Amino acid sequence: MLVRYFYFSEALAIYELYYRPIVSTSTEAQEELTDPGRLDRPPTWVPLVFHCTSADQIG
Amino acid sequence: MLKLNPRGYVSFTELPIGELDRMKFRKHAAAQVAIGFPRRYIETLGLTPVWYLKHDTTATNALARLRTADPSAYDVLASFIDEADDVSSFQEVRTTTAVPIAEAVWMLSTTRVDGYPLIPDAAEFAARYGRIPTSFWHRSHQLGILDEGQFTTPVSNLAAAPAEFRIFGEHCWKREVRQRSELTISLPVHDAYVVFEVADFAKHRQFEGPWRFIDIAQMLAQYLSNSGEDIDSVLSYRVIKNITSRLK
Repeated sequence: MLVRYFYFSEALAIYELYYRPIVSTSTEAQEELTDPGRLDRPPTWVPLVFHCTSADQIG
Repeated sequence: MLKLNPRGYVSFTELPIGELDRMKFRKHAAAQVAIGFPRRYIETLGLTPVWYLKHDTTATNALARLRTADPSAYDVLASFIDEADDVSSFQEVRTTTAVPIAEAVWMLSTTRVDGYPLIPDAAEFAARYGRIPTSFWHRSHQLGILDEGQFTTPVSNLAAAPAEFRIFGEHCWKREVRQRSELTISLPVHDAYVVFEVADFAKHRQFEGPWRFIDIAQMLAQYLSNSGEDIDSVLSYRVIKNITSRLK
């Protein structure tokens, strides 16, 4: 169970980066994206994938 | 176990959590759930994106020739090809093996009871595989928790009762540790009875925080390491390589 909570917490930590400009979290981007006003987001690589279904299909 | 559908695959979306709401509008069922798995784990089951060919007759004709010339090769590809549809915006990936539900790490539900997400058979899941984080499935909630402080039951308690470990976002934590209490205010002419929201100190002491999610991940990895677990083995699907480098 702790392993599950680790993966959950790690994934949410990664998702926190998604909605911030990459220049705030990446030293590489800070060196390359130096033009003013540049607010690129990180690449959309996700830590989790979701199986989506109606509730009556599980359980 | 997430079983294969009649066409022989299990579907997932890799939409980021801020966009996951889009999936709810595929179906009109009121009650829906989303079950999250580490992408790294699903990769080991053969995660493959879907090729939607509705608008590409050149490709569908080539596939038709493959189906005739080498049916077994076509069958390998068929589970990842949809010749009649055009829904690549859902960023669908598939596996052709069933997926153990025990590997799930997060469950979202569109329905709530008393403010808590309703997951069918959640108690049975917890009894068999251990507790799992659950959330109300709504964009504002998925994005909201990213900005919240997170509160956990004490990591120091893990050795005694690891199954009791829990994480609460600040919104839910407040609901756990605060209560309404009527107190008397002495005014010049008379007393007034005013309801305050006060801490339940006993419950308050049962939590630590606020943390960021990265802090919790590091604490859990460190705990597992200190317990003698080989991190590279037990957390083999993690994406942060040096997760225990800061804590000792």
